[in-house]
Amino acid sequence: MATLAPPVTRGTTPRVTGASGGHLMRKKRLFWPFVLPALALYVIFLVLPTVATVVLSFTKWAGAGDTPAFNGFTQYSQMWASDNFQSAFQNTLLLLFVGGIGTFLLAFLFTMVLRDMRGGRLVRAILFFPNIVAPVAIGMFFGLMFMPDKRGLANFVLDKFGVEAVPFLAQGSIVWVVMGAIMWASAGFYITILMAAVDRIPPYLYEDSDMAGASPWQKFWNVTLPMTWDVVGIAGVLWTINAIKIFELVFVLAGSGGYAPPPFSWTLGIYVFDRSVGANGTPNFGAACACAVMMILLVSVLVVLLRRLMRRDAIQF
Amino acid sequence: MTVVETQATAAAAVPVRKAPRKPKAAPGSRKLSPLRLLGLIVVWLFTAFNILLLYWLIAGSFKVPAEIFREPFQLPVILFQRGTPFANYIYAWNNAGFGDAFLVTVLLVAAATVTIVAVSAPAAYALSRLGVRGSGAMTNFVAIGMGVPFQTVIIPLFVSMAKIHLTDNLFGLYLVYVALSLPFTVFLLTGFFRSLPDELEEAAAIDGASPVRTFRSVMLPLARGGLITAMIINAIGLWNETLLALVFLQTNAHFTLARALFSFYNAAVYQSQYGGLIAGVAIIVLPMLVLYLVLARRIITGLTLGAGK
Amino acid sequence: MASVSFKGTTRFYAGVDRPAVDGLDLEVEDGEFLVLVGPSGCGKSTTLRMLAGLEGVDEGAVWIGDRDVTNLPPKNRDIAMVFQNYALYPHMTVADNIGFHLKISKVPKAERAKRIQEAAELLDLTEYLDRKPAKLSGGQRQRVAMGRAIVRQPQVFLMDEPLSNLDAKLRVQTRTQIASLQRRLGITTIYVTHDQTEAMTMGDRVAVLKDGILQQCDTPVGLFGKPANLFVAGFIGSPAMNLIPSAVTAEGVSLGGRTIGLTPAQREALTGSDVVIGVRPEGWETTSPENGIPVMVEVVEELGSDQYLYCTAQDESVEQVAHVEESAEEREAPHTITVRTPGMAPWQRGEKLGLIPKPGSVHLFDAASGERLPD
Repeated sequence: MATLAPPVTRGTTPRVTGASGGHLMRKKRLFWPFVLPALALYVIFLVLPTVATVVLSFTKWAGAGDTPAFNGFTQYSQMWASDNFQSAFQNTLLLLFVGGIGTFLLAFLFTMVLRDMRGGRLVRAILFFPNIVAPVAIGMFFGLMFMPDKRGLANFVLDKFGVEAVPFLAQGSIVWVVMGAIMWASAGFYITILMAAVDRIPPYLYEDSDMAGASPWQKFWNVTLPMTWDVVGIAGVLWTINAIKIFELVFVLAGSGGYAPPPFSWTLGIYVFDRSVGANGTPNFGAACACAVMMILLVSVLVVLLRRLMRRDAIQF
Repeated sequence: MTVVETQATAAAAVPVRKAPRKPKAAPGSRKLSPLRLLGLIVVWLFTAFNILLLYWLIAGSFKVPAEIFREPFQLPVILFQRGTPFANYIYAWNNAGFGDAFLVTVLLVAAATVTIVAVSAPAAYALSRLGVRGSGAMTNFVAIGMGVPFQTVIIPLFVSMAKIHLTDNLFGLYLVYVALSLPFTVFLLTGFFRSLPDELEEAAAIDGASPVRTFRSVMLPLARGGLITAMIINAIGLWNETLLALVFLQTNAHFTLARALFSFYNAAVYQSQYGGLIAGVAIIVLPMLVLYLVLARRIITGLTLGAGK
Repeated sequence: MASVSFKGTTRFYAGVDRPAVDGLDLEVEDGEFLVLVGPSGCGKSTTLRMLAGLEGVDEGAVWIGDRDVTNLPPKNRDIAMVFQNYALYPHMTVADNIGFHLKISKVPKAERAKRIQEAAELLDLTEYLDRKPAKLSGGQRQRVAMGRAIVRQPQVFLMDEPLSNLDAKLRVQTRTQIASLQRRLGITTIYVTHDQTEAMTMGDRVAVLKDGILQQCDTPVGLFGKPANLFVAGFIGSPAMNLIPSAVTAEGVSLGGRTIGLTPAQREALTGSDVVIGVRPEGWETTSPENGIPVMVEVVEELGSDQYLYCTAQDESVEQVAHVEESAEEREAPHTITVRTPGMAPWQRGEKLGLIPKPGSVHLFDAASGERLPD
């Protein structure tokens, strides 16, 4: 193993200044052998396909034996005109912003309580639990829970209170069910990230605010939020990345497994899936690629914007 | 005779007082403001909901559909009376293909996880500790991959892999899993390697160990905690992965658990096999739950680590 | 302005049977500067935090002026606290930090600005008002923390080791500043430190705590001149008092062949047959080895103005008592007798000399109880 830089060549190696120069040179020779396997896989399986997708989004290609033919922005204009894409785009934005704000408000509320709560560790572990459950399973659970008749758990409970069954999964209400499911499933993750940052805040700052007589809200606004600002920014980026690619949870919740859910419940992720390998209708690879490009654009724009908005001088403590 | 002994004998003469079971809290700290009250209520509702859900899942996997829907919160009875408490699990395992899928998933996830870390660790080490110019830019280039939704790559990947017969093929899916997990893993591990002290590496160099040997016998053992964390996190992610399995696998015999559940959902609803369905969900969830119960601290810090840095 | 009193105040911590502070009775007068001093874990910080309202009080009560504040939240106690780490908010400017408490208590903006300006002038911080704490030196940060306390115009100042994060030179400067500022403002101040020099130089009175129990509370002079027990004797003063055990005979107690007579009151107060004789380093007179306690110089520490001789006794019976605050390793080492002589004296290592306690500089303690015998 130790023959990458055999001693024989040591004399001929150009000397770098400093005693460890020779060693440093030998070390630097490791760079490419060490990086190349990962880099190659990354480029072949992620970078090139992404570039290909961008190129293919400018072609007309059904993907059923035909070959891609360049057609400029036609895919994009057709896509924007389609109802299915519009509702997918709307739903994704709704999940992204309303769900995001909701999740973060929830997480902030939790940080106020969890910081000095007895049994807080156990509660945090329980709150985090949905993150290890397959999104398919979560989608399925919420699908069963909100079944339209009183077989669904939600309507079962409503029925006990004498309330008429609500068609939770119908157009108009399904987005909110999905939003609730996603917020429930992801809140634990963001709470944990924020709490890790909150735990690093020196306790004497809270003691000083106690002496000043600050209310929980004032402590949050004057201490917790400014002290965790950077982590909030990173959490925001993670939320954006994760929310845009939401797929199987909605797919299973709104549909029932093999069948695609009704278009009014779609997200961008489902739109791409449906146009590429979905069981509904015929494939349209060109449109799928155009939508995928939209997803990447959305992620990039939002992440850059978020970083801009959240930027401020680093604080040391 | 020393002062210390003097004090000790004096203390022994005084009867030892018993501390109160719970010392008093600081005045005012237990006062409930409306916001804190709201927070407490939401926290407890949330926690109760999670526990209830887990109960519903485990109890439901031992119930017949009538019980699942009419007595969702009661303990299972009928299957136990019939003397076949595991009927749902047996159905899911044998008839719905979860048995085969379980085996496939365990092997696939194990192989992919080990490969991911084996490929990422040297790369992360090289990017973070060799001081080669451009490493920073290259690390960022890899890290950007974390932001790319997988939907973006499925068409070109599917089309080109179909040409070399790597679709509907577990080795093909294995390759895709390994490659697409690299950005996160490399990013996570560069953080770990960067936090290691320089001294040991320098000491090894002075002792005349070759760079490869230094990496293998000094750096890897030091980063072991990070490597294990990376494995666990990837294992959880791949165990639950659905989209890629859905795109790349078509034959039942190749199905992973998530993929099998996806297909079985439809059939189960049609045949009203809800008991088997919930047992299927339990088969996916329970191994992860056990892993979580054992490794909660490590999983939580690992999954949130990337964000803290 | 107000007095502070602890009335049998006791504090337990969860899972620990011995109270952290045990039945503390202490009166602090209006305008007084009281220092709480003791080794780490003695309960001094807990005492301060109970007064601040950051800790609950398990038994007894705490009064500020004529109010029982035991169950009052911190903000209603009319106090201000300087924390050991200053507790400055890193994201706020100096002005915002100083004005934070006023902002929370909804003091109008103009009034706030005026009070911040006054405090800044008093503490020489005017030119730093727009800076963030990270851009300040340690001393400046310490002054910001002081400013935040002053600006509240409280009845009582609480200070928890406010100088422990400064380097030695700055600490000496700042401790005079704090003491003179306190005298100027005339606000009752409770000051916690583990450093007995700080305690002796700053406090009007000093309260010595150990294991949660008040050992003695007196003026620095009283504490130094008449330590109430062996612990205080060993803790106050640097280098520490020499403590030498001795048996009581019919004539009195013997120290290196000399006999010190005991008064009837002292004999009355004895609980055992042994005493500990305490002599401070400056309490020795040096003479020839035949005339006093024979010792040999081991180390000479020249300070210029003073000189410390660390000597070993040539007579087994004058072995020093282990000092309370020493670590296990230090206890292993042979215990030397410390002697203070004028600076630049010609003593050499290995020289032999005799020691005689100066008249009036002998402290007698009951070895069994550790208590001081009446004079």
